[in-house]
Parts: sequence; structure tokens; C-alpha cells
Amino acid sequence: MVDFNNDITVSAPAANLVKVLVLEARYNALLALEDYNNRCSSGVRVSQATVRSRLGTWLLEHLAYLERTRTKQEELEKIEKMKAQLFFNVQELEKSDLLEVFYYLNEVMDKLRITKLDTKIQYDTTNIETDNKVNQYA
Amino acid sequence: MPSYIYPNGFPFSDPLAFNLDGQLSRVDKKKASCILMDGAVGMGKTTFATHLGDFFNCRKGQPLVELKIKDHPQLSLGGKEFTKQFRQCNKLGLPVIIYDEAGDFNRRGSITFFNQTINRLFEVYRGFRMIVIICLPNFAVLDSKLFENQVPRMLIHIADRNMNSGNFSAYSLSGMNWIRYWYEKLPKGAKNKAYSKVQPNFRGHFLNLDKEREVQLDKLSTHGKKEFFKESEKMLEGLVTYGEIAHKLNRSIQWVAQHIKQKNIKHHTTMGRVLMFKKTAIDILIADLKQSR
Repeated sequence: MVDFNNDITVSAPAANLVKVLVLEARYNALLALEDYNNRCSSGVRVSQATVRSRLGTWLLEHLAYLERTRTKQEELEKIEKMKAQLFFNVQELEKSDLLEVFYYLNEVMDKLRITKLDTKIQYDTTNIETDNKVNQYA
Repeated sequence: MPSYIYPNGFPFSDPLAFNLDGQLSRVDKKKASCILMDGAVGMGKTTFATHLGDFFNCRKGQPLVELKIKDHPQLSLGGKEFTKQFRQCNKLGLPVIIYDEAGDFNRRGSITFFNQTINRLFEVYRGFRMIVIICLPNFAVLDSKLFENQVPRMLIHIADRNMNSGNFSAYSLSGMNWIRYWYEKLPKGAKNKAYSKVQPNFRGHFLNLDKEREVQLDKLSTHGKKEFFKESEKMLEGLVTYGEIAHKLNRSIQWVAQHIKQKNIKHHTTMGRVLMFKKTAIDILIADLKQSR
């Protein structure tokens, strides 16, 4: 999607380009996962290579951000586990492990508002004073 | 056997208690906090307001809201009693006051001295660190200045009740303003539908007071309404007492009593043990005074 041979790409802000690249990686991972699911459901024994490599690419796009912003030990361990599973693990992974990576990265992108579908402010509507503040009543 | 408390320890369901604590924290920061309570006549507004009063009192280490006829500083019926009891509550260090039957503070009387006084009170009362609970059948008739000053923070609309419990919906200030908007837009017969046009922040239930307090509140409420009817009759029929006649004629009460007896002026009615006369009695006595000169 991003054409690095184009002059317009050079003049665009890098943050915007990265977002497009991340979206592209996510889209490719989705297609691979869809194909993998399709073949598995048909009863065909299929290699996980495409899914793992595309998930790996997607994870690499996020890696610097995740390692910079995650402070809890459990989260850092989870990221290390995902890296090990996608890049260094020779054996086939369980489908649940593949999906876990997908869910985690999806949640990260939703929180970053890259893939967030709704624009409404999220707050506890049963808290009347919060509702008043959100509606700009002092 | 009806119960008087829910499992959360209060006579109303969650998350109302959390929101009431939010109002208390506002008041502690010297910000204005006013809770509106509306609903059709007889829906349990005063009962629910008493529950809220008890909650705030307990949070501040005070006893439950007093409901005796001769001593009820926290429950005022009408604007005059409200202004008088406001000072009393502040003196006693009570955290909340209930302004019941608040229909006298409405938009139609916006330029009256009474409305201006109450508006001024609401502009400055935040320094007293008290929560005001206003009970009336329809909050949309309240003076607009109250909403412009962002004094009311929460509306509790009582939808229905039975002998043991009632249902309510709670709205924020934003919700209230939208209800007021729809109240203006809808035709006369459909104004009550304004509440269903706006999504409440939450809904809940509340229980009745225990038997003893229910009887006390009933007596107090009836006494207050009797007083109101007495005042209304007095005003509508133009009735005066001995004292008022004496004040008008600049004479003593004994002089008035003597001359009324001489002129054989009959009293129109009695209110309690007070004789009430029609205003024509004053005209007769004035004519008598002029003649004697």
C-alpha cells in the first residue's frame, strides 16, 4: 500500500506511513488466518508458515512501541513468549496460541484508535458527576 | 413481611449510593449540589427524599432525619419554611435539607420577590456545605436561572410505586436539559413523554420507610398540607384576625375586640382557635372611627 518509490511518500509524515504499514500487516495476517481457518475446517492438513510469518511481521511493526510502553513483568513476558513462538519455535503451534497473538495485537491497535470503529467517549454513564463533566458542566 | 433494606444495606438499589457520595464530595469541595426529585402526586417523593436525607446524615455522623410535627428542621414544606429552616440546619451542622412542595418556585413567578430571593439563596448557598433536595411534581417548571447556574446536578424521576416499593430513573444535568427541551416541544397532552425521550443514566428501586417513620411522615405531611389549605382559604376569602385588624387600624387588640362586640360583627370562620373575620369588618370599624371624630 505504501509506495516507497513515490515522492509523495517522502513528504508524508512518518507516523501516518507507519499507521498504514501496520494496517497493511494486519490485513495480510487476517487474510492468512482466514485461509488457514478455511483449510482447517475443510479437513485439510495445512502448514502454519504463512500465518506465523505474517503475524510475526505484524508483531515486529508493534514491537518497539510495546517494549517502550509496557512496564508490567507479565506483559513483557507475554511479548517475549510471542516472539519466541513466532520466530524461534520449530514445532507447530496450537491454534489458540496463534489466535492469542492476533487478539493481543488487535486490542493494542483498538486502544491506539487505529482500528477503533466508534468515536464516542468511553466512560461510566452510571456515574452522574462523570456524565456532567463529559458534557462540560463544571 | 415487607423488607426495608436491600442486600446492599440501603433502602434503595445501586448505583445510587455511589452517586450520592459523589454529591457529598462536591459539597466538601465547596461546590453547589442540588438533587431534584420529581414524579406524579403521591408517588413517594417525600419518602424517597427522607431516605436520601437519612443517607447523608449517616455519612456525616448525624442521626436520622427528624419527622416530628414540632421539630423537623430538615424537611420544609414550601418556600417560606425552606428559607427559615435553611439557616436552622446550617446552625445545627446538618448536611442536607429537603425543600418539599417546591411548586411555588416556578418560572411563572420569575420576577416575584420570592423567586428572586430563592434564586439568590441558590447562588450563594455553596459556602454552607449543604445539599438541597427539591421535591415537586414536575421539575421542568422550575425557574430557568437554577439550570443556567448549573445548580441541580441530578434528577431522580419516580415513575411508579406500590405499597412497598417504587421505581425511579436518574438523569444527569445534561439529561435534565434535554428533558426540558422536549417538554417545550411536545404538545400539552403528551408532555409527560419527555422523560421517555431521554435515556436515563441508570434506573433503580426504593423501599418504603419502616412503619413507625411512615406514620410520622404521614402525620407531618398532612399537617403541612392542612396549614397550606388554611393559608389558601385565608388568602382567597380575604380573612383577617384580631391582630391584623388592630395593626391596620393602629389600635390595640382589646380595642378591636370591644368594638367588634359593640358593632355585633360576626366572625366568618375559625381556624384552630383563631376567629377569622371578613375584610368588611375593617371598613365598618374605620367608618365608626371617622364618625366618632
